[in-house]
Parts: sequence; C-alpha cells; structure tokens
Amino acid sequence: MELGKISARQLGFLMTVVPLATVLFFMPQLSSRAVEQDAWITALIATIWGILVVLIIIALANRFPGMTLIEYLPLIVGKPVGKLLGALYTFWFVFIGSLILRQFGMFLTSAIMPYVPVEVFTVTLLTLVFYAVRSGLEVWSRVNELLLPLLVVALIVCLLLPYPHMDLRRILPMATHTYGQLISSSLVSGSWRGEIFIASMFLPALSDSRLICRNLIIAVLVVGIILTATELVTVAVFGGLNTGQMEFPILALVRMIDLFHVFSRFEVLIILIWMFGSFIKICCFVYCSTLAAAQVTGCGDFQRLLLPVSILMLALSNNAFGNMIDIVNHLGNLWPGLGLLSFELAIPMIVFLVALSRNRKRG
Amino acid sequence: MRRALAAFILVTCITLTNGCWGWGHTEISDLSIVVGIGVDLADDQSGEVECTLQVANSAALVSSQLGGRNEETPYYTISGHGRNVWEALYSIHPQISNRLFYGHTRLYIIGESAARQGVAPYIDGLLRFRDTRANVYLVVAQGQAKQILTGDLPPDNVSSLALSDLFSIQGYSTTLLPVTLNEFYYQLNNRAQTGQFAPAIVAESVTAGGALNSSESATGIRISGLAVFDKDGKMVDYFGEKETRGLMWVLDRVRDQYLTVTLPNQPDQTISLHMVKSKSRITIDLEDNEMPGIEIAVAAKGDLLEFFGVNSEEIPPDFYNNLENAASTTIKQEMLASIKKAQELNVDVFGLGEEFRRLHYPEWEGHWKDRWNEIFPQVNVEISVDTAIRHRGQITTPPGGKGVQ
Repeated sequence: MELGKISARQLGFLMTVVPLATVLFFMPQLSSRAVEQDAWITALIATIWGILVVLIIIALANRFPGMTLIEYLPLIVGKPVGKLLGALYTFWFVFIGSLILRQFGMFLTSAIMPYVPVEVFTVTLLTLVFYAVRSGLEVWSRVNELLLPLLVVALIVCLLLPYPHMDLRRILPMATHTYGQLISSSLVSGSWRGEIFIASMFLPALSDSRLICRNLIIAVLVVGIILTATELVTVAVFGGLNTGQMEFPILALVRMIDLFHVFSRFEVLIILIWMFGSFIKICCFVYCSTLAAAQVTGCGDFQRLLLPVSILMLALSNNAFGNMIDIVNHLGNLWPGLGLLSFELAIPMIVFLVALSRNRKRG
Repeated sequence: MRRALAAFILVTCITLTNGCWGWGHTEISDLSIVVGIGVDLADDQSGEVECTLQVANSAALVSSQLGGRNEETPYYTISGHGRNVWEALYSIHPQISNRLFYGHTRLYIIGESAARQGVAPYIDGLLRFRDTRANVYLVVAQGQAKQILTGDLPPDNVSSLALSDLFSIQGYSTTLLPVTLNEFYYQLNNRAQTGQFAPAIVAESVTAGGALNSSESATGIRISGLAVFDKDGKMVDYFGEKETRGLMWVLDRVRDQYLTVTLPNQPDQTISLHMVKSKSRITIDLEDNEMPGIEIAVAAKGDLLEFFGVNSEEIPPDFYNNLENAASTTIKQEMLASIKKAQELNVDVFGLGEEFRRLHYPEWEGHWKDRWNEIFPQVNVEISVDTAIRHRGQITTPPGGKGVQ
C-alpha cells in the first residue's frame, strides 16, 4: 500500500502536534487537581514515559523495517493473537479519535460558541479531515509543517503576556507530594505523551528513516517543555488549587491578558491552536484507524475504507460521550488505563519482549 | 457537478458558522455593554440578591470623548432581584431591549451587607460565566454597591470605568491596592487560611461647586481603604489609610508611594519622600515550639520630594541619615498598625500562614496547620525597615535661606 512518502522531520512535526493539541487544554486542570502546585513535575516525569514509548516502538520498527505495528504484530505473537491485538488497536484508534473529535466540539461550545450544536463543529472538521486524508499523507504533513511554527508562536504569546498576573512564589512549596501521587498523576499526562506510539503506523511511509529516533525524542522533549511551561504559568497565575478547579486553565490564562487596555482578548490564539492542533491530530487518528483497519482485515484498500471509518468515528463521538463532565472524568480516570498502561506502553513493551525472546525479525 | 456540490457545501458551512447569520450571531448595535456589576443584599430583608448593572450608553460615551458636552449621561444603571446573582441578572434582561454583553465588565462591586455575609457565593457566577473575565477589579462598597455605580469620579463620569482606570493607572500608590477577581479567588481558596482584602469604596455627597462640573450629580466616590475578609470570605472590618499602606509594604505591592515624615528634632518641618521601590522579605523562625516568630524585613528606596520649612543653609549630609531613619520608623509604624489590626480581627491578610506553608511545609503540615488560626493573634512579628534615599531632587538647599554668609 503506497500512501505517500514523508520525511523524518515531517514525522517529528506530526508527532509534536499530536500530543500537544489536546494535552495543553486538559492536563493543567487534571494534574493540578491531583498534585496542585507540583503539576509541572508530573509533566517532566511524563516526558520520561514518552521517551520510553519512542525507544520501544523504534526498537520494534528496527526489527521489522517497512512494516507497521499492525503488520508485525501477527509475526511476533502469532496470527490469532496478533490479529486480535490488531483489531483492538484499530478500535482504539477509532475510539480515541472520536474522543478527540468530541473534545474539539465540546471545547468550542463550552467557551466560544454556546449556541451552535456540537455536531456542526465535529461534522465540519471531520469533512475537512476526510478531504485531507484522502488527498494523501504528504499533503497534510506539509500543512502541518506550515501550521506547527504558527502554533508554537501563538502559544509562546499566550504564555508570556499574562506576566503581570504571575507570582512565581505560588509554585512553592515544591515537591510536597509523594512519589506515588506524582507518578500516578504523570500516568495521565503520560498517556497523552505516549500517543507518540502512533508513529509506528507512519514509519513505513518514511523516505529516510535514519534520524527518526532522534526526531521523535526531540518531539517528546518539545512537548514536555511546552507542557511544563504551561503548567508553571497557570499555577503562577491562578495558584495550584484554583488551576485544578478550572475547566480550561489555559483559556482562563489567555483571558487574563490585558496589557495597557490594548493587548487583550487573545482567545483567538487559543482557538487557533485548538483548531489547527485538533485538525492535524484527527487527521493522524483517521489515517491510523483506516490504515489499521485495512491491514488487519487484509482488504488493502485504504481509500475505500476511509469513508466508513470516518463515519464510525463521527457516530462514536456523538454517542459514546455525554457532557464535558463525562469527558474530563474519562480523561482523568480511564485514560491512563487505556493509554500508557495498555495500548501505548504496556502492550508494545510486552510485544517487544516476546519478539526479543523468540528472536523474531523480518525475513 | 461534484465541484459545484463541494462549493455549495463549503459556502453553506462558512455562512452558517462565521456569524453573518445563523447561530450565535450578534450585531454590535444589538448589544448593551455592561461595564460594572454591583451586588447587594436586597433591602427588604428577604435575603434576595439585588444586582445593579452599569451599562454604557455608547452613543453618549463616544460623543463626550470627542469633546462635545452631551446632555445624555454616558451610562445608565438598572437593577433586578433574584435568589442568586444570575437570577437577579436575568430579571434585568427583559427591562432592556438590547442583549446585555458582559465581556467588557471592568468592575465588580460587592455591597457591604453582602460582603459581611460572605463573598464566596457571589463570585461563582462571574468565574463560571464564559464572557466575564477573572481580571476584573473587585471592590467592596461601603454601603450599597448601587450607590457607587451611580456616583461620579472625574474625569470619566462612568464610575466603573473611572475606578478601573484609577486602579490600573495609579494602582499601588497611596492607598490604592487593586485586587482582581483572580487574586481574591486565589486568596479565598488558599490552603493556609489566608484572609482576603479588597478596596473599599465609599459614595458620599459632594457639595455644590465641588470638583464636578455637573451640578446635577450629587454623589462622588472615593477609595477609603480596604475591606478585609476572614478566611471564609466573610468581611469583618475596614482598614484605614495607615493600615492599608502597612499592608502594601508587607505584601511588596508598592509603586510610587508617598511618605511624609517629621524629624524628631524639628517637629515643625515636614518632609515628603517619593518611594520608588520597596522589597519585603518574610522569614519564619521556628525555634520556639509554641509560638513561631515572624520577621519582616523591608528595604525601601526613595527620593526627597519636599522639604517644608525654612533652612538657612544647605542640608547637611547627616540630615539624610536622620531622614532615612525617620522614614523607616514611619513605615514600620504603618506596618505595625496594620499587623496589630489584623491580629485583633484575626484575619491573616498578609498571607503569613501561606508564607509559612511555602517555606516550612513539613512543619506546617505536621504542627501548625490546625493551630494557625488560634495562634495568629499572638504571633510575634518583628519588623525591620531599611530606607535608602537616592536623590535629593533638583535643588540642594531649601529656598528662602539667603545662602550661607
């Protein structure tokens, strides 16, 4: 299946946007709710999880060059279990994709356009995503190359301009929570960071895979730095306790900006980050779901499966989640179990250990 | 055909969502812009909330800014009742033909009676609502919030805008200690039982021929100090000018402060200083297991602003040392007055407990956390102030000395 060729840098850019797009919006609340002013420490710990995930998928990919996760699973653990895992992964991609789609719509209706039905946003975005993914991997990877620098600049503006309201002493007392609390909270953060494992679906599409390990680790570090900065800034402005009590601390942060009564109302930057980020992120998940579905069924026709997968994702997004409270609770409680502790880290790690012990390689 | 269909869908989507028409669109001419929100307890003992909105009269506001004197007032106020803030606000909506827009709210005023009951319930609606921002200034009305919203403060005749400008332009000087809703929310939710404070505004009648051009308006407003709240957000008392400034020195929120002192040996000469910079540092001494000792060290820097008196010769160098000491003493007195009052009221508005928690977290959690409220009134606070004079201004000798013969 020839889907297009991307460079290692483009993949690095993609894998920066994928965690960044949503982690910024939910993690400050979730981590501050758990460990208050120590939220930024969990972001640092989560970076280690992210690097671990990268090392495992790269090690697996080195044993099976030119194959995706779904393709080499049956080669490692045997066809029945491998296909079952492949089907579970396919469902995971669709499910998480639908969750992201729902988040996208819910954020816009909660804070910006309360009168518009959430379906308007999800359907519009998914239509765009469908069009992009159908046009090929190269196309939206390049769009992302254009958008990511914009997104980072917007983010830096959002984080720096509330400086009159910052009081860095609010970060004290430092590290008052136990290792257990910090690590369990970092699992939530880490589940977003571990999303980088979907790079294993893109590796065969690389034109040159030499620098990929380095690029993915840089992507993890960049997301880690940005997330740490965001959590430091939100805590410095709102305090640990209040950050944990806000629905979207980063939106509240931007709403605090009012320099000389001139530079104010920067919410548009947040919407920009949210729109661009979600668009690319859902592109990735639609791509991965479709590719996984095609490879697990062996039907091999990516373009034909794209529409049903997209529609399934849309239907799930409208039905699997209720209100914002559901989504945030889901992210806080279920997400680590569904992310880092199973699909993102635990399963690839077990699979890798099996591959090591059975010495399975391509060829 | 397919292209036409795609174009049709795209155009439909764009027009539906961008606000030309369709969902959530609002024309600016359909909006009435709220600049200030006041909440009071209703007079009629019902326990209901009375909300008063100050709504900008945009036409009048623009023409007065362009220099024309306008017969119309630049704003109008309107009130409503309800069991909570939003019920009261919604009872106002049908009284106005336009849609009220809260996104430009600059000031949130809480009436004294409501503040004494506890502020916490009154700020939820504002923090939760998507249009209002946590950077609005929060003040307490000495009396009723409604009176403040109808009062005048030159040169802006809209009291909310005037007060908000006053805070953002002149904040941290004299007794102006601005408090944003976010700041108040932070202190209210503090783990260290910190008290809160907010500027207190008083509306009072202005005699005819006062500073106001319009003879019609009868009330002026001014800032009288601070309203202080206990750890549960219930207002307990006011801080006067001296205590407010004392608090500002402790909290390190001083910019452009003025200080007038007299030297002990020349009580008839008053000397003013312009304090440009101040730094405070709190340390906590845990040697005594029963009572912690708190040390506050302030380092202030300022310029000589005025020497009010007659001096026949150039001011001698040692005068400045005496002046520095006198300024330090005055600052110290203000801080002591503030701390004494806070200890009498048992409200830790200085955030000393929070500083304690930050600096000595294990001890705080293990021993002091539950007792802080009981011991705060007796805590021994040591203050040391170090003032440095930077410049003596543009002249060296006071006028009228005829020079040294």
